Amino acid sequence: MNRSYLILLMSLLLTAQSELFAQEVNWRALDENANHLVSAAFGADYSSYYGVSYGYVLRTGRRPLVIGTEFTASFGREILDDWKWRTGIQAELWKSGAFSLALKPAFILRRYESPLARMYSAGTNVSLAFGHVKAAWGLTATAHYDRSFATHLKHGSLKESYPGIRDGWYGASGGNFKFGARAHWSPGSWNVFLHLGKQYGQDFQHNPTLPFFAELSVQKLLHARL
Amino acid sequence: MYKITFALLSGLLLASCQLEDWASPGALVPLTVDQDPDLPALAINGTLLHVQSYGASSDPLLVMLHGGPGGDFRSLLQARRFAEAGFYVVFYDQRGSGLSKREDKNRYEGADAVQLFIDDLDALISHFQIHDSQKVFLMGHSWGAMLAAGYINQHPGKISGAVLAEPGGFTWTQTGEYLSRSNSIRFFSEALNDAIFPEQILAGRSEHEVLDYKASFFSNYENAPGNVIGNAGPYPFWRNGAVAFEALIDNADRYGFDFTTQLHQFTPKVLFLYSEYNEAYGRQWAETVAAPFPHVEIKMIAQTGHEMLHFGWAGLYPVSLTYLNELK
Repeated sequence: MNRSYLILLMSLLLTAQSELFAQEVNWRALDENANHLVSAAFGADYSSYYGVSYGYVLRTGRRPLVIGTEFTASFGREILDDWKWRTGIQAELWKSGAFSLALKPAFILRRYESPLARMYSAGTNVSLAFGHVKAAWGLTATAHYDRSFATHLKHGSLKESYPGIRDGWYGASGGNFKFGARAHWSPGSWNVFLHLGKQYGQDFQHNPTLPFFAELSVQKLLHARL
Repeated sequence: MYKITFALLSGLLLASCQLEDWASPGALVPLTVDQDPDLPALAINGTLLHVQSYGASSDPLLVMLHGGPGGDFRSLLQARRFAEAGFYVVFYDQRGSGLSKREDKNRYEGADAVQLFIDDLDALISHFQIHDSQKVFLMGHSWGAMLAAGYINQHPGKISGAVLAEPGGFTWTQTGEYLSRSNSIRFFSEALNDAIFPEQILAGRSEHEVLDYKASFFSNYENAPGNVIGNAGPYPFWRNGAVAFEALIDNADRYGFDFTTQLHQFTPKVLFLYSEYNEAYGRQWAETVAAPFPHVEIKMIAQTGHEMLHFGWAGLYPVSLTYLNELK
């Protein structure tokens, strides 16, 4: 097994072993029996995309943790050539009345393919959410930082243009910020989240072509054990 | 579990020590003339350009102007054939583009950034024109055709004829109108994903090599199946000059330009070409853009899109050669 596949395998194992998470959470709607969060989402940031996510509520300490995973794929003719798989954990760090501060670290694995090249990229993501959260509704400000730390490149038609181009593993390729606002509305055991904001390159000078992001997600809280 | 996680993380970190740097010269984009002494180069007007010439130096001069800004002349190379027809054909990658030397962004920031490109062309013509009576022709594609018009607008007496293939416009307002049609966003398309998805991986880096590599993915958009400008697929290129492209677009947005003010003084006939498959162009737009020239012949090149000097060469060559021979 060459080094490329070893790194890819380790990334996958890291992603898988840390179990699940990534979707939005309304902390005030998590009653003691709610163990599972199942969501569907669509939106746009670095492509237009749709996705599904699953979260498991872990109650080991004073406050619940949600561990979960989210898979999103880009719209377009090719169904699974571009995707993002984010896995992590989130917790409410602080709360006072309806005010809440939550932290969400995650691993991200991305795949991209076009006629020019294919990429597999591993990275990390940290999100902070602060706002006014109630069981039925809420509004939070969010900040995200996302950094790719290793990417494997295999070139297609770019190799025809430049035969000397080098395939293989490349190091940290930069990072991006997202700043936004998230509103939720929670009728019964359902949650609806709308997340809007602006995205930047980490140097705030080389910014993405689509400057804004938006996501609408619908979530079902399940009480039964799966 | 913690031990396994620690071992995996350690392995990944160890492997990451040997990862290649995205900005390594030559790793992801070709070396430029200042990095590779084997490339043909010409020091001119304070920069170093990638230049190739074909034919006898005493023949009428035909200077080829590539598109972009930020493109290169690789897709125009079939025009070497004009050398067999008695023209001295000169190709060059414009300042900061293709295999020419990279320039810092601040080099393009003043109000005279477009003038810099016109002055480069003037210096290039002065270098290759061996006597005053040697005729000079320009053949420009897209942005290159706009630059040709900009040059003629300032130096109408120096040029004996021009072939202009789908210039977006001769003013910034006109160009913006064309771009709004040619680059309209198809939001749920594969082409959009192919063009911008890598931006989340290659994010916030300022090295030119990284920016050039990232810019290459934009060609996915303009060449995707069903593209508005009618390209049959990818066409050859060396390097996308991302900084030159972005800086010139920013500059035009800030200062604008108007290449039409003196075009009425240009008396030779101009050959103005548009392509059959470019849905954003068409005969009507060709007539609108060509209007400032007093003498113009407009022709459609059949069975090709915007990149007609590559994909439409079989139709473009005879039409252009007939025109050039008339004025030779």
